[in-house]
Amino acid sequence: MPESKYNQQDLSFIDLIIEKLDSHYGGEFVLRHILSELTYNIHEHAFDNEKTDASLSFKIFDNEGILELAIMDNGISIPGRFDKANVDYIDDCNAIEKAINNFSTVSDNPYERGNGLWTTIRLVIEGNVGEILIISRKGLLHISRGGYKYELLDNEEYFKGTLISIRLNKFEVQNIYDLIELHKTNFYEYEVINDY
Amino acid sequence: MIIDVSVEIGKSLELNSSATDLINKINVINGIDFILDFSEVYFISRTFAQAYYASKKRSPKNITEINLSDDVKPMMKMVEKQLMF
Repeated sequence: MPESKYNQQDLSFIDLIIEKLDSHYGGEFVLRHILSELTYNIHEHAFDNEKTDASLSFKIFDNEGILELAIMDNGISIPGRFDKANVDYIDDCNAIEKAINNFSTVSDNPYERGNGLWTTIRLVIEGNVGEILIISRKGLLHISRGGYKYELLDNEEYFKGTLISIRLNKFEVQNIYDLIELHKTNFYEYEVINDY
Repeated sequence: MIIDVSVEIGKSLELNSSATDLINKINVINGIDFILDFSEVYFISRTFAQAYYASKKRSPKNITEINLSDDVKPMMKMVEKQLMF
């Protein structure tokens, strides 16, 4: 392994992961941003008791120029967090929609709310033409540059916790700060379809 | 008083709790004017920057930042600007 550019004693968890990734996939800032914001979300929202676990995995498909990164926890889930905060939502897909649109269970101040999911989506989809899959309890959202899809996982073995899987292409994101500005538009509107 | 941020909370600043911890420490130190030296800090997340400016706004101290690197300054400026509105 190449020698670390950081003093080993000062390395954070994110530093240790970044050293193993190829920063050509998105760029070092984007990778740091994704890892820090999504692990922050787990730290802040997912842990509900001592038995909660979280994991991070990645794989590089160098011949195809793709990096896949997945962060997963078996914690309270996004809808579960809303249940705990007595926040109304239609179903687990709507809960994901609220979460990516800056709806917070922590603060009413818009500038204190987390923007991690939203900024991650913008960097990956608009900045890198990548893909994101979010599964939280029964809700699923898949986003690519070609469009997005919500799906309710209607089965007994629903996923406990939250999984976020990201696919990045092998080029660095430009105009980073334009992409992580606060927004007011909901680009991923969820429409409830009733089958009669 | 000058405070080396990297010594207090690290060089890669990711969590909002790091920001609030830093400002909370300053709030209980005697004195009004504090200069935070970011020279060894090489990354701040948006989450950290938001929490930093929100906590700084509530602090009774006068806090300024110096030696923000080219990797750190744009994020701090963007979030500070948004908190003004």
